[in-house]
Amino acid sequence: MTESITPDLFQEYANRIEQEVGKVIVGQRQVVRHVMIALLASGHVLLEGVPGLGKTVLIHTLGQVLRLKFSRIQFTPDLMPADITGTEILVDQDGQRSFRFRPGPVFANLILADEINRATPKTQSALLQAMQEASVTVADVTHPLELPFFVLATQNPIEMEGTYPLPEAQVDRFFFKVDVRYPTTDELDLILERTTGQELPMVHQVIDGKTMLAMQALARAVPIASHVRDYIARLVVASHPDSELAPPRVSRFVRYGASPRGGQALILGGKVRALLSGRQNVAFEDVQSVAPAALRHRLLFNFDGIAEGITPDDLVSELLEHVPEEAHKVPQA
Amino acid sequence: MNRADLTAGYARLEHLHRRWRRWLSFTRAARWGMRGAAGALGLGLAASLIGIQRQLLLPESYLRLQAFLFTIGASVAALLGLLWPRSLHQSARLFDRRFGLRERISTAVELAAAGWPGAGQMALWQLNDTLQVCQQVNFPAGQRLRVSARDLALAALMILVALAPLKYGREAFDAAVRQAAFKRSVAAETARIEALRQQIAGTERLEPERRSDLLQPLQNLETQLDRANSVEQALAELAGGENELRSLADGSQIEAGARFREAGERLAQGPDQGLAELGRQLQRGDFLAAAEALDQMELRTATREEALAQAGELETAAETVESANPQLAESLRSAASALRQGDPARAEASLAEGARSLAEAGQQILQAELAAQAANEVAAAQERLLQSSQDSLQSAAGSGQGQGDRQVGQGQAIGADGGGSGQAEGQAAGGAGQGDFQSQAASSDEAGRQPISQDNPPGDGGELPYQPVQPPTLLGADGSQLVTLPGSGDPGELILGAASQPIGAGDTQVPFLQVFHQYEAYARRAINNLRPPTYFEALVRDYFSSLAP
Repeated sequence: MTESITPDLFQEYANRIEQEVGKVIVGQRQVVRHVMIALLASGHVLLEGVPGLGKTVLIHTLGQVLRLKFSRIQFTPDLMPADITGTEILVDQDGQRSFRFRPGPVFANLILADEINRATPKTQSALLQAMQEASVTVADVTHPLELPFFVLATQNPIEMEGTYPLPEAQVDRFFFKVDVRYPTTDELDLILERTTGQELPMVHQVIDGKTMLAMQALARAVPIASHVRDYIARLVVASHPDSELAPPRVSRFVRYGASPRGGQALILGGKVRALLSGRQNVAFEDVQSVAPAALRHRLLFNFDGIAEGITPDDLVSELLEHVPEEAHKVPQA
Repeated sequence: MNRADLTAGYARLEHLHRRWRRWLSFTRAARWGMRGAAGALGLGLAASLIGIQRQLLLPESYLRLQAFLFTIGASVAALLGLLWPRSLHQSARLFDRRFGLRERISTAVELAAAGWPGAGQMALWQLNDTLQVCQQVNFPAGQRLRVSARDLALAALMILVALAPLKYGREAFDAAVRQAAFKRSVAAETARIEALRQQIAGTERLEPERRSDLLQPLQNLETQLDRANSVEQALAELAGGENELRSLADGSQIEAGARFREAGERLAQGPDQGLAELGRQLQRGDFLAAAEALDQMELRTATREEALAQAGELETAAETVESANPQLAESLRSAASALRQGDPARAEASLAEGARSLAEAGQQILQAELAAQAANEVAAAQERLLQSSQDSLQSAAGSGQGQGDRQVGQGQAIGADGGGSGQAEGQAAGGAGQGDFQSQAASSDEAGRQPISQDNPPGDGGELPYQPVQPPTLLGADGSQLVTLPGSGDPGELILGAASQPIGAGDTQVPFLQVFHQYEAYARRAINNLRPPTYFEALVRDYFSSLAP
């Protein structure tokens, strides 16, 4: 493993990581790919799905493959913020009493925030600073977190009992929201085979933290043409109901559209996807490929939208259909 | 080093890109050319419709115009397409899209345009990746000279639309053909009249005032013919000109000229040299030379016998020219009397007086003869113009066969025109109400062919007497019966709706019902095709309405 990463090496590492994860996770290729993209773009991921679909296993496996300091926080209704960030404890040393900071589980490279929506919003918000600034402030002292730092949170659908919707500010800090869907019959058959035998699949570490940082730096260097960037800007603007570019259903059902973080996620996600596709520039298809994961949690519905049962993915698809790639038609000949 | 690699790599990409752009220009030229041709055809059709509507455009001219516009439109648009500038970035985006290059070229071009900010390794990787993918592009397959189905359909549609007037505007084109033929005929007749005018202008034997009297009607006729817009108008102008010329062609003078020639023939055979010379000049019709010969005649006064002999010859000559010019005869007798009385001076004076009289008569005769000649030419011009009009109608009817009843009926009508006197007589009957020209009334046939003067309608007519009108032979007439026309014949009288006196029962050989509808159809077609004055249309319609069984 080296810090000097080329596009080919980037692609090779990414493929190996996916292969290793694939030893444990059956199917869910799109989920794995989006999680990979988010990690390589230094983004946090919110995985949503009903219990038992392998969300936790996926993140745990990633921790093993990436040789990163892994920490798991099981969110429960009685979980306190200090249980995440850490706390000042009174230490008696040589007759001297003093407070000493005891880091919480957030001080790791890869944080698994399992069932994040089972904790109260106050506790959920304890992750805000860590996710945005990669640091934690306790008792007026800011403690930086070690890079790379990822939060991979899982949540059950909010309609389920005993869940608390994530605050909008925190949701927006997730780079991607990935929906984990139920496996197909064949995939389920394979899952049952793998998980009920005597030997559980073993995974190997592929890269370390430094390599991951180098890969992230390489991804950020990928160029993007101005008209592709313009397309992304128009997509984001079109997600706002009062925009002239907004499709009719967005105007009708959306209360708030995507924030600029949504645009950043589209660009960075597009850059990583381009490298994963063996390209060194962002294409429209990269943007369109990551758009559902980057935008679905950033569209806040109004009452009508909720009442009509509109799904975010429907509106993202409509956005992609409605907003032309070229702002002005390119003459064909 | 990195920047040098970038520059070299981008030069290769630019070379490839330039080649593609060139082909793109050709593709655009083909596409624009197709659209330009369609647009030009559309514009040409719109402009041509005005010409077709006004019956000014001939089918050949229309086709030539459309072909010209098609070529010009296609050429200009194709040239514009070839030369129209397109930005490098725009074409890069186009190629990205067309060849599925996933924004590779446009990104590379943009980076190069920005000067490879930072000149990072990533820019070089991106450039190399772009080059590699571009070289794998199957350019000829992806960039065939394609013209969209929409453009092709548009061009085909415009061609069909442009050809449509040839089918659906046949009547207008036929009218334009007839109008063009009319213009050609008028131009030819104008040229003939101009030649005649030049001939008269070059006749120095005629005094300038008399020449001017002849030239003026011809000059006016040329001017009026130039302004004529229809056969009827031209014929009316010709008839008017002919009429004016005939008024100058005094019949008595022409007759006098003929008598002078007869007299000259006899005088030329006489014994006296002077009188023989006079006779020869008279025989040739050169009255000025004859007058000069008379004026310079040598008197033989050497002996009494010679004088008496010459006096006798002069008296014989006086008898010879008596019928042609009594004044000249009187002068010759006076000269003979003077010779008998031995007064040669008075004899010379009498001969000089006779010469002046002969010269004056000669001028009148020459003017009358030239006027008659010109009038005959103008009459012939009318015949030719009418014939030309009928020919063009016939050809139009022939070309229109199968197009509908109207054209077929017209062809039959023209056939009847050429065949029999019935048609001519029918025209005479129609034209009689308008008044006609006395000089053209030699026969019913001629009267029928004489056009109706457009400047002599009933409103200001009556200057010339009505011509006798006979019923057509098809109805059993034998040329001796006359039709009594309605009205009193007073100038300005309108006879709309009044039917002529019907032929008595038993006088016809063809049942009325058998021919009525045919005649009515002829008349209606004539109204449609010849476009007579409105009041005349009403007259014809009312006539047949009054006869309708």
